[in-house]
Amino acid sequence: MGQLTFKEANRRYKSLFFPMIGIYSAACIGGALLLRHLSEPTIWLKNVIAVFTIAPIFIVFWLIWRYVQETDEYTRLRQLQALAIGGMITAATAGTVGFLELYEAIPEDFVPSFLFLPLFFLSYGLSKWIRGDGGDCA
Amino acid sequence: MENKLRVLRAERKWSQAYLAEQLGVSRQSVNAIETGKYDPSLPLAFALARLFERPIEDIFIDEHASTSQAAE
Repeated sequence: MGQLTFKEANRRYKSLFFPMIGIYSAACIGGALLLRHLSEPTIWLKNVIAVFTIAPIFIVFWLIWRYVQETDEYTRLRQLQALAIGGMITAATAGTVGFLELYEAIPEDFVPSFLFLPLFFLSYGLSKWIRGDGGDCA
Repeated sequence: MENKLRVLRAERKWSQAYLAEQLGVSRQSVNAIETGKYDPSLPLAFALARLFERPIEDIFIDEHASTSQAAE
């Protein structure tokens, strides 16, 4: 059918997914520790650390996009369904928190916005697991 | 859509994993097709037909065709 087999696509995905998650985790911890140890970090340094921390996640999103294109049709369907569920849960939660903050029902910064990223991956992963696709890819 | 994939596979003593390997898809895909949870695309249906050396209509059961024939 002129495309990679499921195994090849899965191998390509996993070969970069886990290193990227490792770099992201290290950057989260390392960046926070670095900023804590600097007495007056400059704004450009904060920008660099923030961009460096999130960069692996952009690569992970590209990996997911490539995997969806390269894998077999059934896995593609299940992946897209899981991504849609993850996206909807995240957007609905972000919207709810946003309106609660807007109407001052909860204090601003009650939920740090960077937490919506793990919420997306958690809901995406859970929807795959609950629907029985946990073994397809990470 | 109902199909005879499980029977045809059993006749050849092929596992789901082996069939998936031959088709280049995941084992979950083969299971979903066998259990009728997923209807394959035409290219995948043709690939199955080639692999089992049978016409597509020998593998997949067109329920609408049988009901329309019965009505005639």
